[in-house]
Amino acid sequence: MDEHTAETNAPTAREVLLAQVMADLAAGDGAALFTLREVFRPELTRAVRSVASTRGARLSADDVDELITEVALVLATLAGSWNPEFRVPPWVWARHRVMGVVDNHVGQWTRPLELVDQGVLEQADPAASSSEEPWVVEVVEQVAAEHPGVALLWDAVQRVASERDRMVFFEVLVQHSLGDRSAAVTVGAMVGLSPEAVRQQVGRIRRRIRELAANEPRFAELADLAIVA
Amino acid sequence: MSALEVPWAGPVGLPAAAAADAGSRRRHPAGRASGSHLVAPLRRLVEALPEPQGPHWEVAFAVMAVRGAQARSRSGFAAAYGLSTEEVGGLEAGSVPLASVPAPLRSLTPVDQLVAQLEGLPHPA
Repeated sequence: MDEHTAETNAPTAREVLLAQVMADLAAGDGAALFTLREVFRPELTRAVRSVASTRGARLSADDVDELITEVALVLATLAGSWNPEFRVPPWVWARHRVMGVVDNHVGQWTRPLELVDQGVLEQADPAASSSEEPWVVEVVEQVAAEHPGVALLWDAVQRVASERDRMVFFEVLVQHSLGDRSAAVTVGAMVGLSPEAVRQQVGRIRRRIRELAANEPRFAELADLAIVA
Repeated sequence: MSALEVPWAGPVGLPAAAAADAGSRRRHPAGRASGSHLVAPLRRLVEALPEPQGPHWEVAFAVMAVRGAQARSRSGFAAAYGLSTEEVGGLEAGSVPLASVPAPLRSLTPVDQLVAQLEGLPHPA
């Protein structure tokens, strides 16, 4: 790892505080629960609201306030299993538990039957899809096992980016390909980063892959990829 | 020249006036946090947290909430209010009644208000 990579991968003050709070929670310090709730309120709020938006539900400020307390309690029970070295925030790492908290609150969300147009009811249902979408990085890892080109890219990204940054990079690429004009905002909300931080991180990874392609013949063909340009 | 560009249109005072104003506002009794934002989570968390050993559990939870909201360790919290770490430990263990809580905590933090909110709840044990 070069000096630049080591410098940019150093944990931020907020990440250090989060690691300390989670360690305190694991040690049974009740005050850390309030720290998690008060200091990391913006991130917890984003995590709760993003789940609610995928359910088509609108939450009031009071609802969100109540839910972030519940999420903090859930994260407190998992604190001993969370590893800060992976640099994935606990509300992302335990996203399925966050979903569970929000789903318990929102319930079975639906529209009243009398408001539904009869024509809509008679339309054929769209094909069923999985309700639990895997992270793109998980899909890329699976495809890399079968496709040499993807394996090369995966290898390069693993060389230049941390686990969290890899997730950010691939999620942004997918959002772009889906036509999302503000992919950094979407992905930032998913992982608890500001859009500026997401853009910077993606730009850095692209630059490092270009450098890798220029310096190591094995990765030379990656220089022609549009996602690296 | 518009009214905004004249030299006397800007704020007057010493160079550090803005920072001093902010500091004064924090120190003034009317500018201190009332603790109202901690009441709802505290009432919920009392049900979930392990109960303190001592009889004054309201004081224990209130001090815990104040320290947690300030993101301070026991020793850091003790230093900030001129207490010893053992005193903070005693407060959080529920062994100190509200009347005996050190004055800096009662006057500079919303411990009193939080205790008043918890007094109506049944004992968590």
